[in-house]
Amino acid sequence: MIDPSWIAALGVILFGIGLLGTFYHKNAIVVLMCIELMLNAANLNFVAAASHYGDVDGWVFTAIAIAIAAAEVAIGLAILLSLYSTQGTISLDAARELSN
Amino acid sequence: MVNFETVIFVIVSGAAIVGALGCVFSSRVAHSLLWLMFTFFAVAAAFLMASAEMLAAIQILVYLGSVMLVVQFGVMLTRRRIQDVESLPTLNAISAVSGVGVFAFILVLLRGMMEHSMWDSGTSTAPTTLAFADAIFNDWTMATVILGSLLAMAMIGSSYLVRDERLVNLLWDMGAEE
Repeated sequence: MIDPSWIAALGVILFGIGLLGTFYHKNAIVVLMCIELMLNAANLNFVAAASHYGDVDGWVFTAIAIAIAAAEVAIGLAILLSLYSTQGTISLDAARELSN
Repeated sequence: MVNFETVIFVIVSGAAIVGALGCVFSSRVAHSLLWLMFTFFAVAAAFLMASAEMLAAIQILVYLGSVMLVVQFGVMLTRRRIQDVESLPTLNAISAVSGVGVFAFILVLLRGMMEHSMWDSGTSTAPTTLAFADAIFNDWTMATVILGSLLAMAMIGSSYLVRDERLVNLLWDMGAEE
């Protein structure tokens, strides 16, 4: 089996790239995808710790995180769809309804 | 002598990083989505290399099978043409500084992660899928039930959010004639 610390390092790199994407993009769907990327990086970390300690709880947390990510995507896209039907765009700069 | 498993892991992690960079720096949203699916395949392969076969299967079935499908629907329903080119933000001083900051953050985090003392001691025998099933359905039963109700609530809430309140639909709902 591969050294678990390498898997954790891959998780760190993916998390950083996802963080960069959330800063960089204006399109709300791409920001949502980058958040998915960061969640996946966190899952990699859980799996690395689980295989390091031989403890199955990390896998359980990963399964829970995947299920919560599915719920989050459903809610997020529903919000984006209703935003698109009211504003006509999903650019994060255009959605200023709640400011001021 | 280079270990064969190490070579495979370097290829897998390189694919994951290339896919993530492609997702962030694509100018078309549909291409971002395809790169992200590529990354998720690579992450599933990394799960396999940590001998978490069940999680790799869940990753492919749930993430690639359903979550990415939902995101694809979102891409289709929120633009006039699928292949629209996004105007990526121009590289100004603030985005350059934030990019450098994120890069430094990655380096600091990597160093802290690789040199942490937790890697010194451990069993290094991965758990089995049987133990995983036992943990989910015996030790974490309540969490699984709560998770199921959370998913049901999320689905109900999202279908409530995208409801169409135009008068013609409300009238049709109440059984009015065309």
